Amino acid sequence: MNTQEVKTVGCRKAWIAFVAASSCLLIYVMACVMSPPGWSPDSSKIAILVTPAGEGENPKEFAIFVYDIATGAHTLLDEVKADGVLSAPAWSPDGKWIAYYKVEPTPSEQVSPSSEPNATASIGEQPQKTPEDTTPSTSAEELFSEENQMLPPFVFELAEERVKDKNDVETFDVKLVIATPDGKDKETLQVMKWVGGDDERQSMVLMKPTWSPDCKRLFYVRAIGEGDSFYIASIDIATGTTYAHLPGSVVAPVVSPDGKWVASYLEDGTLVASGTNGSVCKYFKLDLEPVDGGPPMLDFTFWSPDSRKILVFDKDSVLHGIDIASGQTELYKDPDANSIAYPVISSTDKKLYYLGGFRTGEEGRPPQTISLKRMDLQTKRTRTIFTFRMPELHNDGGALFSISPNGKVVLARAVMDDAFEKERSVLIFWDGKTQKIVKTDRWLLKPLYGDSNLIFEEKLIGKWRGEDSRITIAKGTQEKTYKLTWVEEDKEHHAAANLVRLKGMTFLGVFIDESLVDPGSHLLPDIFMRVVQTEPKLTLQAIEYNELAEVLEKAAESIRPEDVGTEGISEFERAK
Amino acid sequence: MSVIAYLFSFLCSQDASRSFAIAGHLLPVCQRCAGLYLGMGVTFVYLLLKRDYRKDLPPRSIVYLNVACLLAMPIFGFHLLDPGPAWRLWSGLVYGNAIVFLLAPAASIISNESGRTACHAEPSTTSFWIFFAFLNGIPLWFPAQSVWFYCAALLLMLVGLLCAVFCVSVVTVLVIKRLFMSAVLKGVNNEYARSQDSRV
Repeated sequence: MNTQEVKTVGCRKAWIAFVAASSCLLIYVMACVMSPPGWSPDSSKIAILVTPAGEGENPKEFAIFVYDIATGAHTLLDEVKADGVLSAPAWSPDGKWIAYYKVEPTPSEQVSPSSEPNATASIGEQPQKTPEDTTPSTSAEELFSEENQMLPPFVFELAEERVKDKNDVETFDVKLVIATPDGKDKETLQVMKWVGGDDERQSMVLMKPTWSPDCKRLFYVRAIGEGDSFYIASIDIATGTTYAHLPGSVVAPVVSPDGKWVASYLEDGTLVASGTNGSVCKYFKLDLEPVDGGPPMLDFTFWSPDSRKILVFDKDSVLHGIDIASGQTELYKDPDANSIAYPVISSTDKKLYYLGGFRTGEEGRPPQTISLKRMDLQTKRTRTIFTFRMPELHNDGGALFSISPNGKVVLARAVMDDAFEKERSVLIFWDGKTQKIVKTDRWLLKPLYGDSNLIFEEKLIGKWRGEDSRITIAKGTQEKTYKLTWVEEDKEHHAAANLVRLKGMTFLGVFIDESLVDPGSHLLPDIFMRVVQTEPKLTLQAIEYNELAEVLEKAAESIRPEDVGTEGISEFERAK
Repeated sequence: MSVIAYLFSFLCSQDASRSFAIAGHLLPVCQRCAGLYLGMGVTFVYLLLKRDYRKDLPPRSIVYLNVACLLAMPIFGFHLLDPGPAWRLWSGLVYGNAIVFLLAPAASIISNESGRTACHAEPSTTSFWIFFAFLNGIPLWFPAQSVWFYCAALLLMLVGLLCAVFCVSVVTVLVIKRLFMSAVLKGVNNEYARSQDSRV
């Protein structure tokens, strides 16, 4: 091979290497840019616990949905009815799983107290097993069923005393469940006994498990007595190994960003930070004025991004950063905001985002104008991101706020009145430019009819005059739909409607927000009106969704007039 | 920093939940991309110090290893295997290393084609294996929580990115220049020049 040939071959190889390397780089970059993140903490989706509005603190139905903010699509993850309970859901940091507690709708179980209390276990020791292990398990053993006990012995003693004091200790089974966001894959990690009654069951809606940052472990609480007595435990997702970590009175474990610490409070307000491997446990007696008689803002305790400080609020909304190594406290305050509420450390820039301006509002009621603010924890500089106004809420009631992990969207859960002055649960989103209100009650409804039941009656179209109101029915923009306009007390309302024939009776399904265009929602009206007759007068009878569902279920073939009664009937004459 | 984040937004999904936070600062790319650009940057610095890339393509054993690293990426990149942040960083590091080990010498050979003589001595690979072992050890301790480390990582990532951009740009400019010169000096439809080219 001569020099020229060697040069040519070498150059050809260089070209092959160049094309291969640049192609690989290009393919990788394109793949990375185009592939959607598993779960970006930009709040593109939320997992939310939905209960029917108007059922107060004791709802009869719980459902967890995943809601896509951009598309408006919602996916049912899990639901329970009757006396079952679901907790608030918690996304895993990688977005692949959603964890929650679940109590199946079964009667609570009564168990006898332990005869051989296992109160002498110390840190790192397994509870001693006795020959009586073959007998049915006692409540104490069921309580501390974690394989690796890191709890201080006094927790066992405390629980045993409480169990011993009563002949029958009320307990109930709680499932720790993880599910994929699409709801297709669901897994019960473990079933555990909790001590408590109805109050403890109801308070579960405020609880949620906490994921470790690497998603390998799930931290949960277990109730060991009435009130706020819990202990914090965790489960290794891959192996199923469980660990009991520390006592506490918080409803959600506070895990550090590096996953090495978990924090909680004792009932007297002492802050406890424990290494997740059980090697160290630190107690901090906080010199803070408690909020409403309890420990400092329990729900708003969190770790600094470097896992060195625990940040706690006092009643004056001053943020206390407690260094877990030295125990020294650093104060953070926003003098312009009056208050620091609903704080969150952003996953994108590691700064503190919070809502300011709450002090101007009345007790239990959010103020009219709220600001989303940001604080750099290193420089303590603050900045207002945007300000938004609250809409009118039902009975001027309160709202539960949260800030998206990227600090760009504020979400409020509240109850608003609709056009019929009925309570509607809503989600309100603000992103600084727009306000989006999403009604969630309809998510809980099951369609009572399908497209094949839809009919259209020309006779309904026209202007009708009732005793106190006027109603205009026109043809809707979509096929087999009507557009309703009615005036009550000089106020005009609009709605969309469709006519449906169900087991021999005709009903008008009324959609107050005219959202017939939403996929699937055209079969879920806000209210039903039975069309009793159209000539010579239009006679309508209002019927509740649940009432109609019950009537339809009971009626074998056709609904009889006596099944629906005579209440709520209104007559309308055709107006000229 | 926002300029760098903006720059990388064209190259990475920037999934914050899959990005390293160093001393309270979030890297502007995901963990795998951080590995890729870091790997490219570190390898480029190594090549600059070693100067082997000017002589020829790497020895066959290194090329085979690099090809294996390139082929391994789909397994991790398409999440067929995703054991965690350290593995994401590792897959990016070896991928970036492989790309620069092929790209830089290739760009050098192509751009110096006319002045190159046929020297093809197999250089020693010991330093490469030491360097490769160091690269594989990075995920074991990465990241160190210091602002300086954050700045250094960011700088190396930029170096890696600029290395790739530079290599591709040099070759692209060269190709355009040759095509232009060929068209101007020989004419677009110069049958004689074409026949001479094909003979060569």
